[in-house]
Amino acid sequence: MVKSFASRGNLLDSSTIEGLAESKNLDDMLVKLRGTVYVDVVSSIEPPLTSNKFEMSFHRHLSQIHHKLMNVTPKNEILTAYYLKYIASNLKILLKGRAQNKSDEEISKHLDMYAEELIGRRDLIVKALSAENIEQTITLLKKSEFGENVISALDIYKKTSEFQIFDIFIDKAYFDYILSAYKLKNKDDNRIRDIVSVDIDAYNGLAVLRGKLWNLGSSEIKKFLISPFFDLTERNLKAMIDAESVAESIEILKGTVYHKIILTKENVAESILGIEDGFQLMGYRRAFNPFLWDIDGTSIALGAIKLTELEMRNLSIIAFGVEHHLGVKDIMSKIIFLK
Amino acid sequence: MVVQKLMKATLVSPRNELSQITTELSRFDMFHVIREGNSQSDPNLNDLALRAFKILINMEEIHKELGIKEIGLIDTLTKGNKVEKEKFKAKDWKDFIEKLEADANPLINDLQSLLSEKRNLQNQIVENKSLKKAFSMLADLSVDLDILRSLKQFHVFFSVFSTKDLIEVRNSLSDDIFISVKLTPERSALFIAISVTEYDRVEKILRSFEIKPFEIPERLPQNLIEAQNVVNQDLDRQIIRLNEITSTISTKVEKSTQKMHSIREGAQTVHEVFTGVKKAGDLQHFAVVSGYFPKKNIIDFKKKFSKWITLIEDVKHEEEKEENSSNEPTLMKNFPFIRAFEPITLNKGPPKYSDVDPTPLIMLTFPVFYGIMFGDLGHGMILSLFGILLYIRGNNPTKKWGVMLTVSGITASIVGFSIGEVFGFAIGDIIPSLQHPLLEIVERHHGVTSFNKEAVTTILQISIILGIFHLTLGFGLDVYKTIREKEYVEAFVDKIPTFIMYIFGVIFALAFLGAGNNFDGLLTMQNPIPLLGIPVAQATLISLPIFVIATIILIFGKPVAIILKKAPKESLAMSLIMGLVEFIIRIVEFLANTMSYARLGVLLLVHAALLMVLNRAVSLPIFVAIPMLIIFNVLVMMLEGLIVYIQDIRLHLYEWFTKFYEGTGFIFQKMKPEPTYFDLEWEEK
Repeated sequence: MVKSFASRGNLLDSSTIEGLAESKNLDDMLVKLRGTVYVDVVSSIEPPLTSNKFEMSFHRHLSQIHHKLMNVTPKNEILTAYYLKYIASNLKILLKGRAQNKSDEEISKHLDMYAEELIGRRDLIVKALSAENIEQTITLLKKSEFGENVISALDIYKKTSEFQIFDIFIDKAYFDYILSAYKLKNKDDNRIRDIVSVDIDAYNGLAVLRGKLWNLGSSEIKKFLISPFFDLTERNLKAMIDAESVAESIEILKGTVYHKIILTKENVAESILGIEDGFQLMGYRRAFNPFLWDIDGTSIALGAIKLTELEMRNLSIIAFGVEHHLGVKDIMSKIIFLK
Repeated sequence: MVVQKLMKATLVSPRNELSQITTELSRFDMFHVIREGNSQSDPNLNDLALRAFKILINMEEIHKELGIKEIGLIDTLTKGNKVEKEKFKAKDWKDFIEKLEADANPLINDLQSLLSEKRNLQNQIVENKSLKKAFSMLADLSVDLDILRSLKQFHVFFSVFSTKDLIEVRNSLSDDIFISVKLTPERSALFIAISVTEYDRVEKILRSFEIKPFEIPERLPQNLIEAQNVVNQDLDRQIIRLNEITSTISTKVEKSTQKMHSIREGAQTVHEVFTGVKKAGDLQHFAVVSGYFPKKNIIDFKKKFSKWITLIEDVKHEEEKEENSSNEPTLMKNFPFIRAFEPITLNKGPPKYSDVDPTPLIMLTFPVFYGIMFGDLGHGMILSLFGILLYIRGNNPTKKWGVMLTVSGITASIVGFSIGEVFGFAIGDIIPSLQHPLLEIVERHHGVTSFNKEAVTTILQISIILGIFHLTLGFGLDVYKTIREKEYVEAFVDKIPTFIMYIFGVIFALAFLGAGNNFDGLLTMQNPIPLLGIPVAQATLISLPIFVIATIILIFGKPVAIILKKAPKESLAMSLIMGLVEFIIRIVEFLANTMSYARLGVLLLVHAALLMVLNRAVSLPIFVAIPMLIIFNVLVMMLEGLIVYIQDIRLHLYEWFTKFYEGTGFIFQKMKPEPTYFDLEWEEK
């Protein structure tokens, strides 16, 4: 619990964030970050500096914090399940790369197996990477926790050629894993429920919207769903699936507890991205609550991880903005700063 | 008791003169900048701040890597805190940064290159050690790398890799023939035998772990034995060089520690100064700097800043201001001796600008309470000597502790002298002319020591009396503060009744004690009450009606004020209930707070009891008794010293401060913090 509070306490304040956004270039930003808790995170970045390198370092830092908290938290099943996110992220890159027939070198450029290294699970990605094509890759992943879902993903991919289908099925496996951990140890913990529910609802809601966007049939979209359902009920989701269009599905979503996060835009794809951001923001807001109300280590640790994730997102945005010489106001408008 | 009066100033200048204004404000020194939250940073100042920050960060990293620390308490006491401040002269802050850079950069570059060479050498040594092991393993197994490479049907990988990757590599190659040998704790060797058709797959997997087939490095002879010899020679040379570098670094650090501290602190100061002023409003061509300065410096301020547009205004009292206006900083105004007790006040937080500063009173009460609880002539003198040592050898914060401990030690000595105790022995046994102390709490008859019951009662009574005075002072200050803030209704319906209730409640309690803890004789008995000496009946007749009137005002005062529209409108019933609740709370509080001061006497008794037990060691053989007495006296002093400090703080923070002091202000920060390691003299323009 102490480590969780320390992680939250180490988050940068608004003036430091603004100071970083005021950097003239990435060299300045690096110097400024050396004066913060991120000194070790950025010390490994080698010139020439790019926002990608910064993002990778922040990603590593996040997995490191997550790993540390996971190791010191009792009843850490839910944290272990959330850790799968980093492996899932690499698998998505790998599968989408294979689906698009990209070379090993090109795929490897986007992979960072630091999170896997921390828990000694690089073998999963490395084995998958040694395959020659998508089918062989799926075969090698069969025995992993993603096995069944990647097989389903391949089936639909062959029909639709929509390679983002891998994202959905990998997420499905990941959130299924989270739900199992939640049901096992944390179902009576309201604060964890608050955080998990928004993640699961976000997954289900966005999966349905994307399925509709790709013109998949109802039966196929239903395959995406995971239960138990939380605030986005089975009835809401069924209505969204049965809707005539994506826009109508969004209208149905407006009738749920998530109506506040929906901003209607002309382009439905943009609307979906907006909804995704809204769900994320709501998740981060809920991550604050355990620090106010809980004395239990697990929810606080989960909150600390989510808030660190938000900070890494903000820092990556700043690095990108500074690299592309965006104005301070433009950069700051993209930053989510929770009070 | 009152904090320094301040003026608020707003300076407007062309943006290109902002650096100059910053320097002038630093010369003026007593200026607290209001940090603007929303405006953007001035680019020029941002650059200067960043230059300073670069020096600071580089220096901090070098300090961290070399383990250079600031002077600690033990070093302060044993060696003293002699800091020869590095002297700098500068025209302005920009000039100072340039001078800092000129001093810092060669030092930073030199140390960074040495440290980098050291790290490289350490890596090379690790690498060569694992090479050495690999060569000797290959030699032992009579493996010829060329033969391995020339196999047609099979491929044999031999490689040296990081031991921490072993399990993952093994899992990734679970279907292949795999042998590993640990060479060093960090490095392992592996052999993998595969058919040539599997080569691509295995090579891909190994590449993911950054494992390459082992080859004798190009820099070495390609013959195993010769390569082994070269590696051995390299290792010897590298170890010698590593020792040389380590020693060079130590010498340089020894020579430049002071300078490094001063550069780091200088850079930190510049960074802080510019961070404070760099957000200078949203005007494109003009910078706006606002802040506070002491009212007594107004003439000097006007003269110094006459060339810029300057707006100066009086700082208004809290109640005159609009609700959302910002708070003023607090500049505490105490004499140097009293200043030593400011840390006690600051435990609760600095006073608000409109608050009273209780430090001068704490200067009186804190050492007195400490002295009573720690009362022993010997221990008190040692505490004073320790305080003097801290004062002489310490730096500014330690000097404050020095003063506090010295004064507390003196009062403990006085109390110890008054009760006739020195290191737990009777002073009279050592100096026969002092056989009858003022209050003999420990009696000694034929080698048997025990507490004198009368003296114990007296010391407890004294403690409670001190508590009553202390609390009365607290309630009185609360009344003073409320009237000063012009909260007259609050003063009349709450603060004054509470103050009166406490004073006359105490008199009534004394009358009750005088009547033999009996209500029956309260109105008739004529024997004197303790302490005041007036008859019981008279004391009751004076205190009871006044106590009742004060109670009525406390309960009904606020509802009446609401009816008369002198207080904000709220439910009458609720305010009546709240008045009743407040009355009950007050009574409980009066009793609990007053009794709490009994700890003054109790801790004195504990101190004496501990020494009584310890001094039984006198009957042991002298070579056992003397070391034992010394060691245990030190332990008692340390333990009791800490406990007494905590209890003293508790009485002030919990019992006393809660009556009148909020401590919700924030401290006036001078433009340039007081440096420890450098002196900056501004050159004349």
